[in-house]
Amino acid sequence: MTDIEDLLAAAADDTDQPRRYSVDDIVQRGRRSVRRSRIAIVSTAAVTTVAIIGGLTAWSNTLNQSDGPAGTPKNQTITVDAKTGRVVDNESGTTVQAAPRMSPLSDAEVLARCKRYDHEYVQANKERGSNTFDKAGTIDARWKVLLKSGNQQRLEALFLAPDKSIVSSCTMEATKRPRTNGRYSTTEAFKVGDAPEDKQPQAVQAHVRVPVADPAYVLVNLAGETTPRLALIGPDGYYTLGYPTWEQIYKPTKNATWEDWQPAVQRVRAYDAAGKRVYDWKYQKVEPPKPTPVPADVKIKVQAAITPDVELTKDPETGKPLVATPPVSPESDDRIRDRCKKPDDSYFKSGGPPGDQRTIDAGKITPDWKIVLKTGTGIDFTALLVSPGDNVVIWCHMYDKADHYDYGRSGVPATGKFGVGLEWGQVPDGVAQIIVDLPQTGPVKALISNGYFIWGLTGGNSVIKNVRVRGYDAQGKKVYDAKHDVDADPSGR
Amino acid sequence: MRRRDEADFTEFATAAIGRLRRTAYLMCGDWHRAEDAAQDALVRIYRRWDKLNRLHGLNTYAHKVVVSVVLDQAKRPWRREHSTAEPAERPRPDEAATIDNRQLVVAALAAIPAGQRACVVLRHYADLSIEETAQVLGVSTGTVKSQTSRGLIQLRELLGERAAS
Repeated sequence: MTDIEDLLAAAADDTDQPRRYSVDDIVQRGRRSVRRSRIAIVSTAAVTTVAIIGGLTAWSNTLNQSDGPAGTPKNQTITVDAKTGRVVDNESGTTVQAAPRMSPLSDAEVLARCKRYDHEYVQANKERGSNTFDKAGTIDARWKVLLKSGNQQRLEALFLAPDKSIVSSCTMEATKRPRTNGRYSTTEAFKVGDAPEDKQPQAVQAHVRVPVADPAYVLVNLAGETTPRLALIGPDGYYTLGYPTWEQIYKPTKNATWEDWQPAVQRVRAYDAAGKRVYDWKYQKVEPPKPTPVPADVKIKVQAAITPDVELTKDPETGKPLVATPPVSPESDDRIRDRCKKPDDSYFKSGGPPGDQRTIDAGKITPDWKIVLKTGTGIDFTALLVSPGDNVVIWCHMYDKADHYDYGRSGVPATGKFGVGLEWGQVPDGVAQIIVDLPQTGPVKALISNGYFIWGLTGGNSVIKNVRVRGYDAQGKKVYDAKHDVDADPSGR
Repeated sequence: MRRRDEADFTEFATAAIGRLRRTAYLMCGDWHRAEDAAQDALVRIYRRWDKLNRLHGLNTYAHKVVVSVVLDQAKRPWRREHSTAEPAERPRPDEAATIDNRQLVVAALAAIPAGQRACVVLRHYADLSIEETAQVLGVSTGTVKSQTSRGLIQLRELLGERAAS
């Protein structure tokens, strides 16, 4: 077992984490799931809705609500045409899209249509232990219909629990055709982050309520749209954009990573009856902190070759024969550059890992890239390529078929030295010969080339071990002795 | 499902649930989510039990499902993963504190890209082969090898174990 495996096993130790479910619970759920697979579909759809409308959030500013309308800058106001009801967003100068229509269905009918699916959603959450904040039970006649929009078929409704702890949302494509259900706490927040805005109640985070008492207008900007939409307003700051055909407007690609997602709701503003803005929320993508970049002109410092006076053939400490130095690869430099282009192209297609622009700026492999080290037999090799700017190294391992490769680009640290890594190293100062104590094969005399060294065909199915690396000067005196984690499987398989 | 099949499933689930939960935990760093993921995965397996080849690849399939569930969970905004190449502070190991070490490992895992994390966890915790990992993740064996390698490098860097010499 490697040290990493030890660490993972320790980290996954669950002896102090009792299970909440038994296998019997799972079998029970499986039985119900087979009988009522539709529940799962509805539950998933509900999650999807929130995934689209949610997102990391940040409030853009603190509003001074004591300002009177007269003193409010125009760009913080809206103008409402009393005759037509049209609303103009004075910030963008655009006419706002009309609010969705109120549903013609009675509250009793809305409740009757939604109740069954809300019940199934609540039960599904209960079965899987989700939404533990939700103790309000299924919607019933005691729940208040906060909002209802749509027509005779389509329906978007919000219900408030008798104790006001939960808002239930219900979206129906038609009678007996549920689309999504959602349940949001009016007091607890989704655990998004630790910023103050992340502590807003779920109902605010899910964009069904603004935290403002009785706003007169709510404007919502959706991704990809140039004009904001006017929401249908209910009591206590609750609002809706109606039946959510709009949720389809932003579709990340199938293989998008989470970072590629942008929430459909980009901005929510609320205005009082005088048209003054009293709330403004903007979606802001949280960028990870960036490391201090190493200047591009920091070049790799390599030690000039030192010719040993005495060639080591035995381990100076044990007298046992050393494992033979890994052979220089018979592949030509051009051939190595050519074969390494495949993973190199993939690297550029994916944009490379974030954080070190130098690895991108170095460009793709060209004949100007120097092969500073190559080892292997036949078509199998591990090679190091140095960029024309002497600041980036490519480690490239090819085994058997071209598909079986390992590859990595590294910008040199600010010191100008890489040191000893998992798959290769730079020769330490004053060192002429290096012995790497591989546990499986025994001490191996490393291949040294152009100031770099390697102990075998690194790459492939790596077996990382913490091993001793010894360096000897030209006279055979030990001048370097340190332990490093290395790929201790020199087979390359 | 027939009674005998259900007994077979129960036997399988009993043996697998702990490991699936732990694998999911390493993937997501949250025991609650991990248990949800393991449970969801086993329910999905229950539903397909009649169609599964129980002699070969069941363990691989179970991991495929649990990984899929964890990655699906990660798309929910309130469970969003903050994938960064460089976390704000690199966790440093404290050998004296086991609990801290566990958290360091989980934090370091969370800081590497999901694909690399999955490869490292499946290869070095779940003991899946390169081929099985490739099958679970739907990628080539070459990708598994390179992703695992890169993931290990990043993980070691984050854990501060890579010598700077």
